[in-house]
Formats: sequence, structure tokens, C-alpha cells
Amino acid sequence: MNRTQSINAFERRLQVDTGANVSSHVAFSSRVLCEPRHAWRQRVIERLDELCKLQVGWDGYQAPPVSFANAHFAASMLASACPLDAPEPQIVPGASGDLQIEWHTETTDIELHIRAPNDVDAWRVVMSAPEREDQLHLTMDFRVVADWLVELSEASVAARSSAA
Amino acid sequence: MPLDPPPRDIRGEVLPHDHAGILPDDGVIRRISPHHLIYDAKIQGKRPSSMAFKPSTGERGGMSVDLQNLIGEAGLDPKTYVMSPPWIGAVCFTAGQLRAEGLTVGYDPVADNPYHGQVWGTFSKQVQKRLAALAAEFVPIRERGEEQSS
Repeated sequence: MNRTQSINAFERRLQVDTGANVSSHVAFSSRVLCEPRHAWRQRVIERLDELCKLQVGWDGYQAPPVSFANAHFAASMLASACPLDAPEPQIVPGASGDLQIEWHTETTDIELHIRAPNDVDAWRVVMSAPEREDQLHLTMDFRVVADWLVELSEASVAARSSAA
Repeated sequence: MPLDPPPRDIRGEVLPHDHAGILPDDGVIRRISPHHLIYDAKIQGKRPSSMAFKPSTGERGGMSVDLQNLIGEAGLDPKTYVMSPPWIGAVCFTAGQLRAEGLTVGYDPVADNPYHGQVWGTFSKQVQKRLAALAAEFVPIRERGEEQSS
């Protein structure tokens, strides 16, 4: 295997393993590793920025804006836990600088309440079994969120297929 | 009739309590911000997030509310009073409905809102969902940019 073939194989393997995109920059005779990005990343960052700039009392009472620490944690968690094809999350501020990340599809509800960095209450209900709710407290490991989102995407595809 | 002062700790902070002067049929208003609205594909439209029915975090954190009778007794229109800041909407419960969920309804006047109350208790997901179902529209919730009618 020559050098080019070896690099191409590495790129393919990297893409399979991590979803990362490797771009060739011929002009600089170098290769740059680019972090994969969700299509909605910029909108999420703008929403978090908006929530960090809320006026005190935005809720009609005395709620402060979302704290920068919570917003930063939310952005990092979404970047690392969400599969690349995960649907866009909705983000709702709380009464204490906290926030909640939500997905509500025809088949599934997922809510991640970020009380503080590494202090997350995760909840899911699937419409096919509404009596069974998943409720977890997450701190460092958010793989379960990734699993939930994969299942949500699969269920949405299945629901659309059966409706068609 | 004015409510008796609420119980306070030595620092003057209101302690969680169930105020005997707030009667079961008394209206308890919860303001809803446009920021609380989320799109739910199941209803093909927007509704308040469960975050709208959560207390503030902290040991004594409750859910802020406005006590409708106090606003009316002060000669003010409750619907106008709770439309602050602009674009705020509101839903209404009775104190009895909230107590039936195991919650307590107290009086917590603050400097800029003498009709402020708090609802304390365990706001589980099930309780939040039932509160969302019980909530009666008091002031229509509109998104920012939409004209607010009084």
C-alpha cells in the first residue's frame, strides 16, 4: 500500500469510527482534521446566546438569564452526545439560570434538564409504551442520550414509512 | 380580605408553607413566557414546556405565581397586571387543584409584586404533566412579535 492509499484508508476508517471529516488542503500540501458538526449547531449556539442575554425577570417574576456555565455545558454535551443526524433540539430557560433541552416528535418525548454542569435530569417517554418512562440522573456519561436519539430517529423514520 | 403575613426565617425569607387564607377556589396565576413555548409534533403546534411548571432550584425553591384575589382586591385587573413584561401570557389554576397534586400554596410578597405567591412541593414529571393539563388559559400566550391584546 503506497502512502496515498494508506492515508485514504485512514480517512475512511476515521470517518467510520468517529464520523469525522478529513479535508485535503492541496494548496497547503497538508491535511486538516475537521470536527463533524450538526446542521443545527449554529442555530443552537445562537439560541443559547439569546438565553444568556435574557433580562432578569424575563419570566414575569425574578428569573435570571441562563448561566454561561450551563449554556457552555449544554453546547458541549449536544456536540458530543448527539448523533450527526439527530434532529434539532429545542432549548427552554429555567427559573434559576438552568435550562432544558427537548425533543418532541410523533413517537417520542425527550427532556434533558441541565440544573448545573454535570448535573442533568434526563427523561424520556415513547408513545408506544407511555406507561413506561425512563428517568435518569446523568453526570459524566451521556451515551444513553445518544442511544435515545438514535431510537427517536429510527422511530420517526418508521412512523413516516408506515404513514406513506 | 388581606392575607396574614407569611412565616419567615431569621433572615426574613419566606418559609415554604400552605397559607390558610388562600381558599380552595382562589385563582392562582402562573405567567408563561414565549421562551417557555416548544413545538410538539404530536399536536402539530406549540405548547408550554414542562419548564413552565417547574420550581426554581434551591432548598426552598418554589414556582412563582400571582394570587388573583389579592390583585382584584387591590382594584387592579388581574389580566392586565400579569401581562408584564410584554409578550407574557398566563395560565390559571385554583389553589384546590394545586393542593390536590400534593403541593402547597403560599404567600410571598416581594418588593415589585405584593401579590406574589409560591407553590412548593415535589414537581415530578407526572405532576408537571398534570399541571399542564389542568392549566386554563388566562391571558393568551403569544410569540414575540405578535400583537398582544388585553
